[in-house]
Amino acid sequence: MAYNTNTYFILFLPIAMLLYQILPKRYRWVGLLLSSMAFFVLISDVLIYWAIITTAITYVGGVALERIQSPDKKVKKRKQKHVVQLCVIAVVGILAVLKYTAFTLDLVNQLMAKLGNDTSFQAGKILVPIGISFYTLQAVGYLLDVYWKRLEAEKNPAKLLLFMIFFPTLMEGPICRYSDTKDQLFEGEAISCDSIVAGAIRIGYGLFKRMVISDRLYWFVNNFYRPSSNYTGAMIIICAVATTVQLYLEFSGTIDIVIGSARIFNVRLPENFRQPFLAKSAAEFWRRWHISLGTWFKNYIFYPVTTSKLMKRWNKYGRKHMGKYITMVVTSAIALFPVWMLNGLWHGPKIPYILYGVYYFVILLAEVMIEPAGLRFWKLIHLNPEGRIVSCFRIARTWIIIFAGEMLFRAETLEQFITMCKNIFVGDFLTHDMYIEVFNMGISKSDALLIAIACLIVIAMDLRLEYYPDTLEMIPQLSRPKRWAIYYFMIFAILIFGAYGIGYDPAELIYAGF
Amino acid sequence: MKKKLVNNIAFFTLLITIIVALGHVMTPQFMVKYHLANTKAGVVTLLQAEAKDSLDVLVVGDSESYTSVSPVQLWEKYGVTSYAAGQIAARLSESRDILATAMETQSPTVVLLETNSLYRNDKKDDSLQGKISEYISDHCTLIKQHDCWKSPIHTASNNYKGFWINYDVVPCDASNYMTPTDQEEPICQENLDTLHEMEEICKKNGAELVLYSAPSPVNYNYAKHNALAELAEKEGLSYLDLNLCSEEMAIDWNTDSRDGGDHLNSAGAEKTTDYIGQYLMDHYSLKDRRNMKIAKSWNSLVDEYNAKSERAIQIITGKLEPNQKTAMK
Repeated sequence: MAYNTNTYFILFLPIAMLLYQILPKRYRWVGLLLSSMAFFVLISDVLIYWAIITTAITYVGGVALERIQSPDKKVKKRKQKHVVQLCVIAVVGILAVLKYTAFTLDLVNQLMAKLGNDTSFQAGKILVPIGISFYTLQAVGYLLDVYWKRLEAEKNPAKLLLFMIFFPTLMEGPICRYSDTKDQLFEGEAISCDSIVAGAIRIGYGLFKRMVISDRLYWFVNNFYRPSSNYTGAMIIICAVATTVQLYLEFSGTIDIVIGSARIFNVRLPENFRQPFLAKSAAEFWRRWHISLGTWFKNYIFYPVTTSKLMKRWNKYGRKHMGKYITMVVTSAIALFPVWMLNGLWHGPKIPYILYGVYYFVILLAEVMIEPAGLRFWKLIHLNPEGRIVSCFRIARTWIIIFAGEMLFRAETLEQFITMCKNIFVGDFLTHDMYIEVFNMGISKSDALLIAIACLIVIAMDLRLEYYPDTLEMIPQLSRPKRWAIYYFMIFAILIFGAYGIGYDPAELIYAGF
Repeated sequence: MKKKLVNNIAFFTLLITIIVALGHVMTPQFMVKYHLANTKAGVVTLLQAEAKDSLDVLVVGDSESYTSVSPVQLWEKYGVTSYAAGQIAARLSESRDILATAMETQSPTVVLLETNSLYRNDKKDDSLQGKISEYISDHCTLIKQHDCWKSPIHTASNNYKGFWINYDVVPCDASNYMTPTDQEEPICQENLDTLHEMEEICKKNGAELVLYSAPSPVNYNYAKHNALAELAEKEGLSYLDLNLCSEEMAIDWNTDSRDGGDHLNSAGAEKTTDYIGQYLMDHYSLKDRRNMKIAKSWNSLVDEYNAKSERAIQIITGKLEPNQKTAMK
């Protein structure tokens, strides 16, 4: 059961709402916990015990961190450090063993084969619960926050379990911080007409993005990545753009459904997307795309590295002996490298994912390196670096980076990605056969027309959200004719133009696999 | 609070009224009249709009079926009434459902099943999710026919009894695709079970089920031929593999495929229809209905079909300039 299925909307969500509402205020969080556990069991069966084990470790770790007492501050700090290290290793270890064992053994086998020793280590069949990557990061964040005294440890393990497996966030995030969501999760504020309407609007917009555009593009995009595919010229450009659009609308659409579902229960989750295609650089793109993941890496990897004693010492030494520029570049490289290696690895045990991380590490480092020269260049040709012309150029440049990155992300193997890049320059760039080919890949001309119109609606909406971020929240305040017109448009657009029913196979939630 | 409740009731009442009203408007006759049924779901609607007991031959299967048999051509040459009721990417279970629906109003002598869907392993969604979808779809016409908006954009006027006139050409290399071998490509048990159900439906309605494979280098090979021939023998069905008759039919893979050997275009379909028509006349006692009452409605299609078909062939063979192509669309 995924978020975009009828069983979720017709059965699961109403039952969860009913259960929540009939319980007394102080026990409503128990209703949410039971619903979340049921949701987990429905999608991952008995594998819920992995989430319970991770929660148990996190809970014990948090409580232990607070209970460690010693007259000597240094001893206390050292003991706390050992506890947090042990717990983080344990929860990350579960993720690593479940998700990366087969991949690691396969790499070992390949390495040994290259060295002339044939080995055949087999991991056997390992079942991985859906959402493990998301709740593991939440667990690590919780432990570190308690360790750094930004947070008091939770005394009730059941409440911590709810935070870890809260059903709207389980499959695709956003990755939450305990301090941000705990009050709303446990407050038990009653579901109201307003909360239902606010949630339904967000869900409706998410379904529009998913069902009208993303699901319609799903099989079209899949065709490009079949092992037998051998497209050339402009077809590869179409592939890169379609892949990015499909992934963005699939992921952001699902996040809209997630945020809307939580909103019904008066839980306001953090935004995960903020108009990423208006970014003027790759760095800004990552502040707008999968924000909760970027924020997690920033808080728990980037800042600890840059503020470590070693880095402070290096900064002091570098500025004195090598100059400000070299010091800044080296500092950025040291801090960005683990962030992007882990970002790539987090997405899954696949070489293209790891290279996706490396790709952005290189791009972001290059941006840091050329930024001063770039500013000098724009001034030299008398253009304002913050002006419209330069901004358009920078946005277009960022799009190219994004499109290539998403193609690498989606490729089955590195070889496939390299072949696709080479194929851009093979044969005629644009031919009449390509026109026929495009409409023989799972979309018709009518689909293409609808996708174009729907994309224009999403672009217009994104532009508005850039300047008025609470546009969707404000809809219930509009006059009744305007409000109803928007509601009916949304409902009928999904009912009539949604890609579902006869002739459509349900599209997977791509990020649910992570 | 009371005002909010009234508002909400009014909102949902209006919503349900619109949905129900649209469902009542979208009858098969309405859908056919306004060319709104040229979609996968619309195949059933168009079939239901055919006059009762008016079809002698029913063609079912996936896209290979409705790109290889032209009912109007069969009518013109043999006086046989037929309908290409194939659906895009149809599972065998979907073809079975169409067959069952067709038998409610038709009594065909022959049912031609294109065999490519026997090699589609996608299973029917028997989950709760699938059952809910099916229930909603069966009880809400708007949802069932929600794709109808595609029809007017979908060159609706080129649909003739389920066959689509097409003039796209993408050549393919088909030199060795039917090299003889002893190997067999297995068919999954679920599809074999569905085939048995289709046989039962045909038997119950007095129709002869015939398997045929449309020429398609992308989808067929000799291993599939062996498996299908053996299956037909085992089930006591006739089997016509047109992939083995490409030369006899004079299929030219440089001009007769619309998409590099996956499907035929109008030039290819004309040849296969001729061959299938002759096969049907030789093996089954089909009535020539050209002097019957039904002839009027079928004859009314012939001139228009021939003009468009001829134009398509001219485009395929390069006798029409590219700018003249647009006139057809």
